[in-house]
Amino acid sequence: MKQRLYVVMAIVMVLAVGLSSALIGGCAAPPAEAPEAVPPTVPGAPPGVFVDPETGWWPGRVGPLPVDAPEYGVGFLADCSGPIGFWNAPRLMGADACYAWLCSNEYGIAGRRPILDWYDHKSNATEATAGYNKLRQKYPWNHYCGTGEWQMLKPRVDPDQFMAMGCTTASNTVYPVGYLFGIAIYYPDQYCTFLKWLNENWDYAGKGRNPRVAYLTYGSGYGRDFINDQTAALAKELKVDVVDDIPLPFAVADPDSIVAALVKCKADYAYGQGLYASLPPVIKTSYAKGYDIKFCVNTFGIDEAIITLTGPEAAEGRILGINNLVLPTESSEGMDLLKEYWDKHFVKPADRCCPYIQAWAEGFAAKECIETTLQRVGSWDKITSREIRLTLETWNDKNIRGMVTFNYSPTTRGVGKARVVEVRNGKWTPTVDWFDVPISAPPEWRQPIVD
Amino acid sequence: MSRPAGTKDVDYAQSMAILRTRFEWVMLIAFLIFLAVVPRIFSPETVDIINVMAIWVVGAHGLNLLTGYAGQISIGHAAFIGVGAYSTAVLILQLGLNHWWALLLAPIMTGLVGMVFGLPSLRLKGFYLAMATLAAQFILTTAFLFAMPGIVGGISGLTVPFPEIGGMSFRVPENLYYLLMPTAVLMTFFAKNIARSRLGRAFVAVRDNDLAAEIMGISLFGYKLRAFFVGCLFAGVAGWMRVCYDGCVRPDIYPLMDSIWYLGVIIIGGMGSTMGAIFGAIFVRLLHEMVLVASPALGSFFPPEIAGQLGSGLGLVVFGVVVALFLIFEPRGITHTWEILKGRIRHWPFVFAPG
Amino acid sequence: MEVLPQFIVSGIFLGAVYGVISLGYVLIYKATHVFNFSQGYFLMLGVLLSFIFMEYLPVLIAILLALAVGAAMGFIIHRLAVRPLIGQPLISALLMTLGLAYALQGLAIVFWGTKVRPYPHWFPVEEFDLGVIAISSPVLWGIVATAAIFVAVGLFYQRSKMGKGMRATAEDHQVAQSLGIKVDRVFTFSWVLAALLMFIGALFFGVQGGAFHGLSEWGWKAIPAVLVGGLDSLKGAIVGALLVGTLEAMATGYLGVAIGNIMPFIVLLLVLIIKPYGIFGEVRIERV
Repeated sequence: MKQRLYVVMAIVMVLAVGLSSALIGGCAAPPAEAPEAVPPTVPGAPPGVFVDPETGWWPGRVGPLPVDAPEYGVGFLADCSGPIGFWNAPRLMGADACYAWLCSNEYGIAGRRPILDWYDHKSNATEATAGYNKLRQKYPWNHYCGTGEWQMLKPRVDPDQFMAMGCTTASNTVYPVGYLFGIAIYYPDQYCTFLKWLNENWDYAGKGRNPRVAYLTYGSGYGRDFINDQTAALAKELKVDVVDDIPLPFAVADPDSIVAALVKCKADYAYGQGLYASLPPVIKTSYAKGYDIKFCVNTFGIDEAIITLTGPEAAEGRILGINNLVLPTESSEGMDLLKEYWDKHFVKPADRCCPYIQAWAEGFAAKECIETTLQRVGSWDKITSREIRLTLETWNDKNIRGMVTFNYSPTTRGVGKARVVEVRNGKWTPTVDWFDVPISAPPEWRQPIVD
Repeated sequence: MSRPAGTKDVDYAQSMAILRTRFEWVMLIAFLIFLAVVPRIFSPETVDIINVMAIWVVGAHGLNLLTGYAGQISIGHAAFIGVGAYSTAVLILQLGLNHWWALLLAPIMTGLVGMVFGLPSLRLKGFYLAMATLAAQFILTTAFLFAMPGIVGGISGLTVPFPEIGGMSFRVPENLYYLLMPTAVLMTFFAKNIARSRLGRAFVAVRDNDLAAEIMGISLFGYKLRAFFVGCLFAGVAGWMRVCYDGCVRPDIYPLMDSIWYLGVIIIGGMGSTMGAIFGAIFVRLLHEMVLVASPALGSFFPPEIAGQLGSGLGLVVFGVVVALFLIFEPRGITHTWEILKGRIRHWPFVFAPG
Repeated sequence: MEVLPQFIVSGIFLGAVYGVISLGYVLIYKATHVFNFSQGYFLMLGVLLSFIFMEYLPVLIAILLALAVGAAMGFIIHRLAVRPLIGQPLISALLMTLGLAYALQGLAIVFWGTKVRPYPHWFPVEEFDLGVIAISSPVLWGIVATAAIFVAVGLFYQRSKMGKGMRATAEDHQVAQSLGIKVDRVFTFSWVLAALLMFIGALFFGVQGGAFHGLSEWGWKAIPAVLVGGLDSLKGAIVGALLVGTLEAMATGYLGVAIGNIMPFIVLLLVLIIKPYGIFGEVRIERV
């Protein structure tokens, strides 16, 4: 008798679980077909331009967005509290601020209100996958960061058509060509840029020898991505001697041994992807001990913080950077807007950093890209990640409000213009004008997507 | 084990069976049917969470046999799972085998590696042994990174194709589920059976009192090594599942944190119980998922300028507090609560077993 | 400058950092048999808190306040989180310290954020050129402070009544309790002392590394050092830390990345095989 009761209970339980989940699933089902497009009746629209029937937006429309404007989800998956949290937490803030600014000044993104749907993967592979699955096939535009995690996700990203723009431009993320787009130069290309610059600027006759470069890298995918056969061959070709490979711990406890290792191999330059959390003690020690070693960072290291932490005297002429983003000391359309925002909203000086600026560049790029795509495909429900990708692939030599110049094409996925900057008078100063980034990704990775 | 009044074992076969009453059979079959239809009723997102749980369940079974039953604490389990994953990847990519051969061979390779790192158990005990396995964690992950980059891929690892059967790719979570969940169910069955066999009873004897165990004729060293072999065998299967799930192997996706969390899984679930590993894996994964979702939600209470900072920080605080509260209020694990709960339901409306 | 002596000096400094953290691990382990995974997070909090205090207060008051807060933190953490677990398996306490680590990291991010700031130079920072080697004063002070801490803790253990009680407790909890030693108080005191040590260490090591939430990594890196020396030996903590630190710096300098990274663990494995309970660890005489 009792057992029969249990059987009934079990069946009821299973049915209840099944039904409730079916109900939940039913709620999550895609909405019904969008209504037929009605001819634009928006007052104030200039004649002959595209007007979005849904939001009443036309290209160039400015002004605040109505409060009841429809929302538009944007994904963001990066490490905000782990080892590279110091990079992504300000970046997240910047992206949030940029989207809010776009809503109150430039009619949102084509009349919609971008809402950041962010997840913090803490630089842990399992969390990254979990976060990825929350964003998978949800939004056509996403932001990403974290080399190891995204290299791991790469086998899913392309089949899922997960369109994302972000700052990880390692091999196996942006190349082989897929759905990840970089807002920085492909890491090996950054190194090639540095080699090229060194070859052009080194006084071979005066010194009577080749410049000596030591790698100073984190032992991670991010740190060591630029080291490969192509870049080694290029170094040889450009007469640069690579003398040593020195690990850089993330939290530097004993800068002396790193400096001693640099001295031991008689390096002129220490090249690596060091960030402002790690490099300053090393540079400070090298300066205090009176060595003339120059440290080269990539675009993520070009930040006021690295100068403050190192101390202006120690930084002077000792830190170089491969730069692809506008500097806060410069003036350009986007940077002026940003500075105005900073002053208006009393953003703390510590938050006025490189990731924050980059996030604004990403926000502007999102607006530009989604609006262009909307004009091309005609309605919001046709904006898929594939369409976004096709738009981005036409962005050859595309400058976004004077903040960054993209060089996307069906076969490239990076930033196209770079320059070398140096700390002079306590400020980052360009030493050369913008020049084209060499492309070192192997041809088999640069096959256009066939779909 | 208490059962409803009047339910008695009538023969030895029934007394030794895992499932001894018809009701248990019915529940099991209902549960298995439920498992079989999960991808049809839940969203792919949920199915994916369950996939990860399945992997963790298998890994936790291994650690539970090693630590919960045999008492050999291991803080290198994630690295052993990494060994399984790397073996799988190398077998598939460098030796040209398919996934199914790898499923047979990779766990054995992992088991052998585990035995090598189990060798210090000859002389070490308790926390010092745990530290030897901690060394294994670091040495193994460094080996993934630096040893033979031509074969294991160095820093960027290896990309392994997703398994396929007759054109059906297991890349999509709903399909992958039908690969991972049966494996997890099967491994649960094996784990349960190992635990109640001669081997499992020997493990328990070693754990509870090693001197007494040896006097009773159990070869300590032999059984400790066997514990490492069996535990890492499961880790190898979990590694194989990870490869099917991730589609790649990398040196940095089997971190120390995961090793500690595997230990956390069996502590939270309840050590030395097959159900414990399952409960623990579900609880810990749900906790992680909760923090992932809670961080942005907590952040949204604050102005956007500080949302990211406060959100991700508070997420971690919540995580730590939940773990702390759980340990304070239920230090014996979920299995303990589960047993009490089962007893309550059986004896309802009585609080204790009548008679 | 000669390179070899430089490596040795920086190795000693690294050893000093590891040494202070190991002392913290050992103090808690010796008394309570709990391995405190959140040790490095104490150090990180020490750096951040003393930074904040120094920003607003005179240096001396700030330091005293930071130390007081550190001691209070050790006390509260023991009372609230660890003490309720008495009588439960030790492995639960292990997991508890990990939960603590998460919570402390979260707190640091809530109140400090993820930014990096240079730690104030509250003592004169200069370079001493000793002919063969050049030592910067943070390194020197760090080494001196570690030596002082070590001597102070050693004397405390040898001479004071509380220290003797702690040693007795380390031998056997029940025997100590039956002899009238308040074991519970010893536990609390061990946690307070360990937290205090981390905060003192933070005052010196922050100057080298800058202040940010990633400093907790040092706690994880010190684990091999404490094991090499022996988990329950103060002497061992320092010797092991110096050995591991020097070898790591030398290996990094001379043998390259791969070896430098795993050097501590190779040393650890060798020690575990040859002397399983660490160089100075107490050998429990029993067959395993």
